[in-house]
Amino acid sequence: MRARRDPRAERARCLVPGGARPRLARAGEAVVGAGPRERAVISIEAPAFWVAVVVEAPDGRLDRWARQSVGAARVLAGAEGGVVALLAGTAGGDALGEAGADRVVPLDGGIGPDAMPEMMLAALAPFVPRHVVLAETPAGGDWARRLAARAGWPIQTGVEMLSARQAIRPVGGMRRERAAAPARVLTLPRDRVASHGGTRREGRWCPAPERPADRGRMRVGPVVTATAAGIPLAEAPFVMAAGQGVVDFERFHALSRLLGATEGASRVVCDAGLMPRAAQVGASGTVLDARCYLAFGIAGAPQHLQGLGKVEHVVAVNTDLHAAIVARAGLSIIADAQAVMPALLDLLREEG
Amino acid sequence: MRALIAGEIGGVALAAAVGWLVLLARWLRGRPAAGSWLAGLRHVPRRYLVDVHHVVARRPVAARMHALAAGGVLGGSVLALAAAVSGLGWSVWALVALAFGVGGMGALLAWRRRVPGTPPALSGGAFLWLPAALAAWCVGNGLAALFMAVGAPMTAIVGAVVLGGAGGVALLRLVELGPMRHALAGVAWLAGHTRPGRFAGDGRDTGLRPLDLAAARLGVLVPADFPGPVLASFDACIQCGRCEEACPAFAAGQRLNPKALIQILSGAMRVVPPPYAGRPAPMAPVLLGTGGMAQPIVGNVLHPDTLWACTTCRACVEECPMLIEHVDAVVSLRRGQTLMLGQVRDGAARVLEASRARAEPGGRDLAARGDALATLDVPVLAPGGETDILLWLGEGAFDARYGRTLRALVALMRRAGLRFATLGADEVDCGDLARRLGDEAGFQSLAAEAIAALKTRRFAKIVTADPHALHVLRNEYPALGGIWRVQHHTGLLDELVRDGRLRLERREGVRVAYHDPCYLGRYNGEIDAPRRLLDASCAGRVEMERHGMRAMCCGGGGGGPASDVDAVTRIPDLRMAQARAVGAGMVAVACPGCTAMLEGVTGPRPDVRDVAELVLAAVVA
Amino acid sequence: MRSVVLLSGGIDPVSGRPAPPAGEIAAIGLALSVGGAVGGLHAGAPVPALRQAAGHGLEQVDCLQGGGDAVAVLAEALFAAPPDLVLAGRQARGGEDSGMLPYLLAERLDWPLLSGVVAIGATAEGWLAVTIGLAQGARRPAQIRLPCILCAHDAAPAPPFVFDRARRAVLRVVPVTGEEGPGMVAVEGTERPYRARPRLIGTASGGGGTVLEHPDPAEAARVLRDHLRALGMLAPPREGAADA
Repeated sequence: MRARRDPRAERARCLVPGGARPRLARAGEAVVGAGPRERAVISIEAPAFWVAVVVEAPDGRLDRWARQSVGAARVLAGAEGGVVALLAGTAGGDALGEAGADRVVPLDGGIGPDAMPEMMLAALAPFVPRHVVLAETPAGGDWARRLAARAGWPIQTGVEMLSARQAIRPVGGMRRERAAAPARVLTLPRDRVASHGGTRREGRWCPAPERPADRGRMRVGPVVTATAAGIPLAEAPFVMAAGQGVVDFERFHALSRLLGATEGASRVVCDAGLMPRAAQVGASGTVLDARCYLAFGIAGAPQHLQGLGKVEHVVAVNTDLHAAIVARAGLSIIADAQAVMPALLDLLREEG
Repeated sequence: MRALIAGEIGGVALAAAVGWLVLLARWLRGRPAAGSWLAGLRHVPRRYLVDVHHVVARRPVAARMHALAAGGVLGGSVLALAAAVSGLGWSVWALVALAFGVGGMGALLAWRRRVPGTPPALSGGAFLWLPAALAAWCVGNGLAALFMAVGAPMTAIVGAVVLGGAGGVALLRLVELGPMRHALAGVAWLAGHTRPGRFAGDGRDTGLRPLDLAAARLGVLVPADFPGPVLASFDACIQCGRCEEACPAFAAGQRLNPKALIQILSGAMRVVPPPYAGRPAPMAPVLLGTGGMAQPIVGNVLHPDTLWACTTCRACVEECPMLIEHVDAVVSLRRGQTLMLGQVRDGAARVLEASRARAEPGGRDLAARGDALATLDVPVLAPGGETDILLWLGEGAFDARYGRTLRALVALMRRAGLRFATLGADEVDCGDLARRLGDEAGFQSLAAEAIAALKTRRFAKIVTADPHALHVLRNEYPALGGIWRVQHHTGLLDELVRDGRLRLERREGVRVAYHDPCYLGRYNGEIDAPRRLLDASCAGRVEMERHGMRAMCCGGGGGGPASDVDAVTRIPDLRMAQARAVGAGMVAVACPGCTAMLEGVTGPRPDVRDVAELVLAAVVA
Repeated sequence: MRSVVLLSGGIDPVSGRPAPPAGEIAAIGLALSVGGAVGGLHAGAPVPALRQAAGHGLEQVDCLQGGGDAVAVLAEALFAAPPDLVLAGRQARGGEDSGMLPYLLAERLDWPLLSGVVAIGATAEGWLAVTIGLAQGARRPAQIRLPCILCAHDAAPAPPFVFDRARRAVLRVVPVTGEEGPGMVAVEGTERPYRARPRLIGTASGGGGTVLEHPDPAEAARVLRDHLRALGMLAPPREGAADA
């Protein structure tokens, strides 16, 4: 659920304390972390306790969410504890050390979900972790619940605020929240806990656990990934849309391929037959559930904006400073979309 | 000779009466009419001569044709029958001949309507035979009367009677085929009209009737689900095409033609419907299902998009000389689809679900409704509280653009020193969208909650800037027990200006065209107050060709934007083009729906401002 | 084939009004797609959200009233009259909302469970073919032995709401004598009204964002690239990681 903005409170925040004078800047981004740094490596032999984190890296890369999970484990481990990462995938120990893991135990990626809790338990057994952290991804959320159910461990899912002493999560249909001491198993939504920004950890490899016997109750086939173009618009995490300001659709398509974004369009563009009707974003088209919406040449008619209901980040490229979408966007570039698209294409191609 | 004439005219009249009874028997297979249907027959002459002709007379050529043809045929036939039976003298026969002569002129004018070319809104087919049949009846019987008056030889009289008889048979055949059916069905429809309020008081009766949610069948799925008089109304359509010329959905190329819709509903009662020779709904594939009183309508003989294309703007109802209630028929069918089958368009399903779960079709937090007014500190009326004016914010309040209008309104009300408050988070959606989309259950639940919230507060009247809320609160809540004085913001501002509590000074600027919201104009008859306000605020007001009670819809009503059926062009684009055509540099609006639709028109276009914003700009201390 | 759909007394997160969670509606849709008898099962009193859920395609909802632990009560009912298939949403709304119930039930019944199901295919020799929806539109075929529990993906097709069905649905109260089982492992803590907390990066950007006026195209492209990268929408360049 997107937090409701209370305009009265927001207005109050815009004033300097005690005065009626507005602050100069109203909004900005709290970007946590910084660029790569040279760091020393901390190794630790026998920590007071262990905190485990299950990390998914199906394509060999630790994504932001995975790093945040490790960061959460570090929060729970504090200065005394060690973090052991159970790696489902193929990331390197370096990357995991960088992310904050002291130990890395590889998990057999090919194993089905039914045997996953047994395998996690086997991997965890030498460490007897105080907590196990998982990302609330489709797979991670599933493993977490299987593990908690199998082991009979208490679980807190979807923790929105985490410290070493308490975890806060919504309950009662997101109308209420409960603060409690962190449970044995925790799952973490995206962008709730910062990734590890401190000194790099060792990320020492440990032997993989034995593969548990399959119970013969389910057979799981290979994952069929969808290309960005193949993701249903309503499910797509990254949508790039064209409005009237876009004329060159060749470039638009090329850019969407390069960005890995699913294509959307405004009503006018669909009416004109320049994009298929299924691409229409808006109250009368598709309502998006994307994390990011990149709008080229879209002014943002009210019905179009209604289609952005749940989008977290709106980025707009538009010639009109007063367009409605500028008010909704986290970043607006007041420029001709036709000029920006080729420049961005060139820039991305340069990077390779 | 007299017996021959009496037999001929009497026979045709008797056959027509039998035909009427056959039709009546079919209509009676519909749901029982509310009130006594046939007792309404006594109202028919007045409703026919006053109300029907009031609409017909908007087109003088058609009105002359109809007055001559109907008057001549009816007058001549009745007089001739009287003369033949009672054996009156030559002078009466001369009068009969004169009457038929008049009817003959009517037949000539009827012929002229389709010759040299049939206008696109008129139907062809059997209608092409109508002038000839009328002419034969009038000329034959007129000549027979003339011969009687002058005492012509028997062979001449017999020849004339044969011609008249042939015309009579042709007219009877045209009852079966449609063109003359309106005369018989019209009588039944006018007798049992489902909105008697149209013939009394201010002549406005536009609110939808509540549905008994415990009834076995909710809404209409098959023809027998329509009340009898409504079935008669479908048969009463004369296919004049005035509805089709007024329909915004038809103009935009959506799959709706109100005339074709009524003809499809008329045909749906019959296994073998008479052929339809008018324009079909645009792009609508012809459905070849078999009709019948117990056969499903939607998907069988009627394309589903036709239902969801309707913006419920009532333009067709306003234009219909037979006083047919197209919107009622559409909503009844929608109720069947929504409540009994759950068959709505995806976008509509979303708003209906949000209305159920969140009491707000957009799914937004009710507490956020007042956010647009956050900087103005408008008081929120707690249960048990008292104020002068309760400001009903409506769905538009969630929209940042319409927030500007509301802020202008609040500023003006403040300036006039009015005491007012809102319901705050207790204002649920009024239920307009749910009701127009056929979700009567959702509507009644929202209405009950809204009425309960209003009943716990004391106030003199409700003011709203949303004509849809205005209509629902003013005209539809009374049937559910919520009776308040409800005023549109333009009505309130007009009052304030008249009473001198707001002084306006005209501002020079671009030409301003006022776009009447359907739910303020046609639904509530309020077309003058906004114009008075604009005349006092802006120097150059112009009228679009379609304005006032006959204004064109913006496309935003009836859940149109939510249902979003395929179209060739967009309705607001058409409306904006009409504003440009009269050189308007600005379009004044008075409805959040119209604001959103007209502001959604892309490219260079006249600015869109609410009347309240223009009044605020013109107000002087 | 007999299917049972587990229903919670859901409330809407925005309004706090009764409303079935999307996942449970999707579960009803999956059950209807299998065909055969479909019933609803709820541990607790008959609440309004159940009738709304039934409007999506259930004729009867059995309400196991009498208290005790939900997992134990449901397990007992399912054990007494085992269906072929139990379907549930991803997580209930209005209670603990942990999404644990189907997992604990599967553990208790010793049935296999799959979550994130977007479609159900054919059955063959006691096995059911399903499609699992993963992040970003990825799909994974799977087969599972019956009887089993399936948790529907929120994006599985939802059957339409029909008021006529909702009003006719039978909410049958089945008295049960509650056994206080271990069931859900309760987490103690303090409960209070929910407070929305901002996410780490400019989330819920309802406005007031950065505006860059008339930059030259190269500058605009650079800013766009960096912003998308900061949002995690664009992979870091080959040279090294610059991710937060």
